[in-house]
Amino acid sequence: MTFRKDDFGQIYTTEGLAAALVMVGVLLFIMQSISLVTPQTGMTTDMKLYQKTADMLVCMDNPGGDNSSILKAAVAGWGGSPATISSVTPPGDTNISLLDTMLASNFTSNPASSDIAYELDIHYNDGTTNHDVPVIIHGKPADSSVVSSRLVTINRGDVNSTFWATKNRYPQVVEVRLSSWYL
Amino acid sequence: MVRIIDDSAQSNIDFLFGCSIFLITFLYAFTFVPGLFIPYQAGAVDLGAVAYKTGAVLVEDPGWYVYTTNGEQMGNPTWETQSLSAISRIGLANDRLSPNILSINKINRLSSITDYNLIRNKIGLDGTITYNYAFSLDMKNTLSGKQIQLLNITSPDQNNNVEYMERKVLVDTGKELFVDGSKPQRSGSPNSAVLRVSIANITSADTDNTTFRLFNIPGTYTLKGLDSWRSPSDPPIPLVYNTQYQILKNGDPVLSLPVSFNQNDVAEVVVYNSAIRSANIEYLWVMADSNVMPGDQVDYVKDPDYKTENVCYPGTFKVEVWSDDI
Repeated sequence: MTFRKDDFGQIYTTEGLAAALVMVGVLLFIMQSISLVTPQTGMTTDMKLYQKTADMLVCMDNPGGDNSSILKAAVAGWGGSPATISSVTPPGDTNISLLDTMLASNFTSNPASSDIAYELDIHYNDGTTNHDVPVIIHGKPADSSVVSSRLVTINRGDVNSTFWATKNRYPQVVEVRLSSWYL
Repeated sequence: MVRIIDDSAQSNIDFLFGCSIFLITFLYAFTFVPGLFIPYQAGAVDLGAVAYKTGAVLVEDPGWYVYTTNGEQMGNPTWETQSLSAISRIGLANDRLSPNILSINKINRLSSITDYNLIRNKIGLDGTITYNYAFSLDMKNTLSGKQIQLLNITSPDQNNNVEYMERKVLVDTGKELFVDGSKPQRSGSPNSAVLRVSIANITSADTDNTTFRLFNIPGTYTLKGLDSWRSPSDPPIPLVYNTQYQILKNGDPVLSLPVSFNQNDVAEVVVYNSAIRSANIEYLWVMADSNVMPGDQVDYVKDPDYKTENVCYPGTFKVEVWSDDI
């Protein structure tokens, strides 16, 4: 038996085979690998936090038997002043501090060891300019904050603060924004 | 045997070198970008979406049951009053327009269903993939400050690959007549030792308990008991404490009467629906030892001063899903 001395009629080179094997191996590896990382962990936790934030606003805006919600009462009774660095809520504003208490106790089952911080802003237009006023401040929002918002309409007949009465723009639509983030 | 003397059909050192560079780059990319190939994994991504969907159906939907009238199929959200076979979908919301506000009657009904597979079918987790699930619902009674577990459904099957969804909800625990003791009386009548409530306007279709909530009562007082009448001219019908009615002090049940309260306490008088319906009671008198109660007769359904409102407490609903099929 003799080997042929020319290079015709052979598989072109072993390189071709090897490359094909590598390709198939890579594909199999991608399709079948089970990662130990929970899928899209970052997105899932963001979604969960967003859902919690949105739920909080929905729950606070629940109209009770007298057709008014805690959220609406707080916004309608708001005196127009912002929260400051030294004060979590506007000084003397009991409705807003009630909202803060509710948020603090409900974001986690144990407020003492809560790993969530939040900020509440009131956004409205007074006919000439847009105003964006923070009314509950718990530190600086992180880069990964999520925001949910809800519209509250204040009518003439509602129990309003002198702040809204002076503006005298009814119905006044106010956007309440709740931002939250993990500490 | 003749050896090949040319250099064709061999691999050379350039190829090995190139191959190594490719493999190293690939492994580097795979290791340092963990999320890169995840969308190509079947099943794993699915679980988060299933947990979200199950939570949304239970918290935002009132459920559904079907019945047939004159050969025509009809449906209604009040599944909690129906037999298991009539239920087509389980949902806990009060109604379609109020998501996140859960009905205590629906929660209690779901809690009473012991058939794990039936619940799985009614919340849509037994499609092409069969999912296992666990629910829990913890409510915080803001009067007593206590956590109450309303739902706890678990599975004997366990799995490490679990996804969960947590929803913040309000639990509607039912109607209460809010009697604010600081409100002046319309008729100017003085305070009395007896709170007289007319419940004649409650329809017999109403199966809820009748509850009065007394707060801002001016001064300390002791509640001695409850009298009931079919009409003011008839003799009173005695009600038995604990079996026919109960008094709660700041959200906690009182074991026996009499019980004393001060100005800051909240008293809740709960009269069970069965007691009212069995004797057709139309008037309830709450007996105190001092003249602190409103003097006017109060109408449970349509009083101009005191409103009957639904009492909602905040809660956390958690659903976990996993599957052995994926």
